[in-house]
This record gives sequence, C-alpha cells and structure tokens, in this order.
Amino acid sequence: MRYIEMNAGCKVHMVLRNVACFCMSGHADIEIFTGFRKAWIYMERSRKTGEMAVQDIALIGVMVAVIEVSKAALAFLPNIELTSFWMILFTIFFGWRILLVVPAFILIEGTIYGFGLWWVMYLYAWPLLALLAWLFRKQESVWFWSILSAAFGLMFGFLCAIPYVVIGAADGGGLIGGLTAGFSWWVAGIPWDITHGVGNFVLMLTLYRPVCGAMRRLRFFPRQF
Amino acid sequence: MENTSKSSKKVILGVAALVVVIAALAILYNVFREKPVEGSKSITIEVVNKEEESTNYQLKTDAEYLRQAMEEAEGLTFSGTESEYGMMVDTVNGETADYSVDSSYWAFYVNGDYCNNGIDTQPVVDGDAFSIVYTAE
Repeated sequence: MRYIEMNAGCKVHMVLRNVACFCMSGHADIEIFTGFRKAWIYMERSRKTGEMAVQDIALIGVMVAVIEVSKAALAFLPNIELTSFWMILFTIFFGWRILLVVPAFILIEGTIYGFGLWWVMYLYAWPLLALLAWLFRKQESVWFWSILSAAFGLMFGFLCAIPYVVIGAADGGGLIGGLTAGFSWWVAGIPWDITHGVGNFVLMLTLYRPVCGAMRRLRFFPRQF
Repeated sequence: MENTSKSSKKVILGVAALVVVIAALAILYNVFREKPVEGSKSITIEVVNKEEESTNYQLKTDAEYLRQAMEEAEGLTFSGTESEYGMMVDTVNGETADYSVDSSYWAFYVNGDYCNNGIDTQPVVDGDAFSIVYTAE
C-alpha cells in the first residue's frame, strides 16, 4: 500500500514538474512532449506489473470527458455524433483502457438523462463497437474505419430494437408479438439510422487521418498494444 | 501496385455494400412504415357564441387531447394565452371573452359535463361531444 502511494506520488510529482516546465519554458512542444513521454513510460511500466497508474485514471477521465463534450456539442444535430468515432479511436490507441471508458460513459449518460429503456440499449451497443474496433485494431485504412463506423450507425436502431422484442414477447404477445413490436420500432426509426450511418461515415472519413496524425505526432503512443 | 489495386477494389466493394444497405433500409421503411390513416375517433365540437348561435364541427381524429382536435377542426379558430396549465382560451371564432371586462369566459363541456381539464389535458375519447360556450356571469 505504502509503495503504491509513494509510487503514485512520484508519478504525480513528475507530471506536475513537467507541466511546470511547460509553463515556464518557451519551448512548449518539446517540454510537453518530453513530459508526456516520461509519463507514458511510467504508465506502461505499471501496466506490465498489472498496476493501474495515476496517469491511466487521468487518461480514462479525459477520454470520457472528450466523448461527453463532443456528444453535447453535437446534440443539436439529431443522430450526428462523435461518440462512435472516439470509441473506435480510443480503442485503437489506448487498448484495454476502453474497458473502463465505456462503463463510465454509459453511467454518466444514465446519470444525466435518466436510466430509461434507451440506457439498456447502451449497455450492449457501445461495448459491441469497442469490441469490433479491438478485433480490427490492426487495420489502418481510413475507408475501413469509415465503413465500419457507418455500418454501426446504420444498424444502431436494429440493435436498439432488441429490448422491444423482449418487452413485446413478455407482454403476452409471445415471440411473434415481440418480433413484430421490435420490427415496427426499428422500421419507424430507419430514416434516423440512415442519418446516423451517413454522419458516422463522413465524420470518420474527415477526422480519422488528422486525429491519428496528431496521436502519432506524440510519438510515445504506439499504434496499438 | 497489385496490392493497391486489391485495396481499391475492397474499398469500392465496401462503399457499394453500404449503399446497398442504405437502399434496402429505405425500401424497408417505405414498405413497412406505419402509414397515416383517417382518424379513428369520431367527435363533435359545438361552439355557442355570445348571441347563443351554435356552430357544429364533426371530425375524425387521432388527437389525444382536445387542443389538437380543435386545431384539426376545419373552420374553428381559437387563441388564448399560454400558461403552465396549457392554453387559456379567450377567443373562439374571432369572438373574445374577457373576464376582467364583463366576467365573461369560454366554458368547455364534454358530453354535457363541465370539463375538469384545460384543452391541453382534456382527453379525447371516441364519440365525445364537446361544447365551447360563451358564458357571462
């Protein structure tokens, strides 16, 4: 316990020192990159020993914040969202940390908007996207990710219809009643699914390269691990 | 060179598959979406003005609440002030009832009984007969 506290303390101190360097120096790029690189090395060492570093927790928090802020910023455009984009990118670049980002994001969404039926859909829809991104993490084609992201958007309504199938079946309609209820619900939202798919495609096609480029410019980030 | 060609083919196939899926979804939507049907509830709305002249409106509607049914009634116009309880109707068919002037108001009845709800919360049931009556105390 004591070791962990000391270890965490050292890391925090180091990050603070680097931030201070950054603030005082005119060579902001070099200093902040050096700081991040060192922090990253510590983080990776901790990962190898099975310990979660302070930086990991901070990084997960930043990822969740980025997703939430992006989502709120685009809330005025129905079904145009950056959540899929970030879920994919964060899974590719930060690997296992997405396992904590996704539940944190889902919980925050529930806290903000209420734990309704839509929340149940989130419980499997977003983890599925993260799983797909992880399975194809070696892919580097912008087209591949654009198509995957578009397919996820197009099928989002289909995925979300599952609870309606269950509810319809449980309401006494049996399997046929459940499937009919789920199908009707899905069909009613198809125009929005198409908007979602096209939006995801365009956003991924536009943002994948610049964001990946920015990530790679911070050279300490491996492509995947 | 061959790899680039293969990769381009994959991209084209992928994008084509997306277009096919979008087209299939659009067809599915047009075939199976719920089409608008004629309203399933038959109701009447009677307006009795200051001169006790009566105008009747018959309509088929799917409106859940009276306000929407009134909006759907052809020839019936109304306005009022919005409040936290919904619209407080003060003008019907161009005739204004002002309680502050002569203690007059528009009284709403459903099937002969005084409405207990405002027009935004008064449910509409098949066969309902609503009356909107200019009333002065």
